[in-house]
Amino acid sequence: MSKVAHILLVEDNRMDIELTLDAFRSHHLGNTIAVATDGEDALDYMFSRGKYGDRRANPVPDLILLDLKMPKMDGFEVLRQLKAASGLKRIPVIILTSSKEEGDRAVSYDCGANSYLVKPVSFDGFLEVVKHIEDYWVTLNVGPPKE
Amino acid sequence: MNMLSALSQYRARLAGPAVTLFITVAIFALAQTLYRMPNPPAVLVLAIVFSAFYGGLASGLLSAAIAWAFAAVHFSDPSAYFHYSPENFARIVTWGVSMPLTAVVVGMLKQRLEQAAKTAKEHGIVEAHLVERSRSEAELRKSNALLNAIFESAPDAMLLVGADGRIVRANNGAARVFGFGIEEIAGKSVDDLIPRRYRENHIRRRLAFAAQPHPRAMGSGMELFGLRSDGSEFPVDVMLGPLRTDGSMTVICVVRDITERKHAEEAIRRLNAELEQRVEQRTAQLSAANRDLEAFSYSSSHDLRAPLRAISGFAQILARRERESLTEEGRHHLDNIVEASAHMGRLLDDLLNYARLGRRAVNLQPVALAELLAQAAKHLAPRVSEAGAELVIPRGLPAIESDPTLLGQALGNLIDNALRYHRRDVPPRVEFACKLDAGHATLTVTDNGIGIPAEHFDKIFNPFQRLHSQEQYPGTGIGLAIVAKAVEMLGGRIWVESAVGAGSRFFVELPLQKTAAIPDHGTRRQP
Repeated sequence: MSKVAHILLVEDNRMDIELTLDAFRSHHLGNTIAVATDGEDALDYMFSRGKYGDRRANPVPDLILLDLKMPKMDGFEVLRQLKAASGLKRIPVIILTSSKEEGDRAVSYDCGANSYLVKPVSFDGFLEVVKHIEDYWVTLNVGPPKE
Repeated sequence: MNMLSALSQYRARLAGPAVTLFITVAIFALAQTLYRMPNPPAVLVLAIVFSAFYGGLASGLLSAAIAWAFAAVHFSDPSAYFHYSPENFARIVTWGVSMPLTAVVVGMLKQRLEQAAKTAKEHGIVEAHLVERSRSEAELRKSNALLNAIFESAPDAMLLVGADGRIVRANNGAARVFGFGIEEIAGKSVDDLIPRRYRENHIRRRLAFAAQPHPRAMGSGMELFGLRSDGSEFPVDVMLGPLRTDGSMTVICVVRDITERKHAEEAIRRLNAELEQRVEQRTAQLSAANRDLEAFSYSSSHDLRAPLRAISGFAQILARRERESLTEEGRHHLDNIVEASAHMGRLLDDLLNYARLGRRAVNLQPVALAELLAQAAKHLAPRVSEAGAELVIPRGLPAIESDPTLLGQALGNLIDNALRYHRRDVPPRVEFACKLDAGHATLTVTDNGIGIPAEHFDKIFNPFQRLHSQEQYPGTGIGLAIVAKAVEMLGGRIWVESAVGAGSRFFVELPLQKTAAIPDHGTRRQP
């Protein structure tokens, strides 16, 4: 029995956004995905600010896919602010980045990341990653209770 | 013995009478033959003369007595001596007086001559003494003049200082160095030539020196200063030599003004410091440039992944969804894009790994080689199995002080390299060994692979250096470069021995800080 989740994808690269959305669509699981294109945009969405003021149109996501290297505000800062915010801190955050750096991994987990995935170069690899995300984080994983 | 020495002593004196006796006997013997000597007394007189001259008065008288007795016996009737006649009287007077008189006169003459010779000799000795003395005095004067000249012309200040610290004598150098007149400086206390702040200490040292005088060489490690007449100070080297004369002690004190030397030393120090600073700056610049280069390499390879992912991803989407709408040629081109982007992805991954290696810190700790190789073998197990390879890891490998990540990566890559470049018809065999010697651990990885031509021994450790096409042996050519970089970061060195078709042996020599033996359990083979 598969569940349906609302996912926030925080990614600045237009093509990576397209590939990720395509990969999700390829699985036909009916998950909804909102996209924020930088760190500030992501926080606006999460805190329902500005253009994201309507919470019903922009619901709190069940899962956040977060890139690290972004303009305006990087993923680490987004992660810090989310994990410090009551009502949002329990939402699983998966880092989805090109970086394999030890330092990036360490800081991500220190800031409260729930998982760390490296973006594959090939589309087949992307499909596989997205499938694993859906299988584990959406279907298998039991999410946190609402605060 | 005594008689012999006595004979020897009187030989000269007895020689004359003996000769006279010999002549008289000879004349006597001749007188009995037809050959009579015409005037024997003349010959006898000559013998007396020689006897007295060479043997002395006694010898002469003895010769005269012999000659007289012979003449008396030979030329007259002895009884006639007892009868007076004018002929006998004349003969007695002639022989009896003239012969001893001859001996006496010659003996006296000889004595006179000897005395004169002795006097002359004594006079000569005294003369020689006087000449010698005069020569010695001249040499002494010359020597003194030379010493004075040396003392006065010495470039250093030379002071003769008495036991009470008073300057007994100073040379021109002292006057020049300290800026006093030569008369002014003599009589001063040597303490007055020392800056006031060191004076008390100097007096203490001077008294200690006087109690236990010993020669002290110049520049014996002390920073010393002199004081000029104008009150200015200057750095000096001092040599002290105690001189004992007539029971009192004088110290010869040589003072050298080392102002110029100090300036030169200071200039050298300053230059060294500047040079050191420049080297540090340049090293820092190089390190920064290196860091920047590595950061650039990392960043660019990292940033290149995003567009590559797009090329690869969308090419794959096209190949998957739009393949049928493309011509044969179009599909071929699309496959090329997919294949090339996949290869570039691998290249970027390897470049990232290589760049990442240089950005990490070396973390030294005891590393059990057996454990490290077991991990590498586990990691490579699928490939070992796929190739039907044999991995030989000996027992009893030591633990060495190293960075487990760097060393693990280096050894893993070497094993991977051996599995990759094997001969088609021969199952790979990879053997590991370790040898310890003074200060080094030498690890070897030996394979039975295709081998490497000698001209490529150095080249293979450069990044992206490949000796084969992708079709022959796929890869990116970064594996051995990563090994070389890891070994370099560990402070070691790497080299290879190889023959084409006979396999290769890679040597990794690492500095050895600490080692610990690990129990030997025999050799393990991992098929």
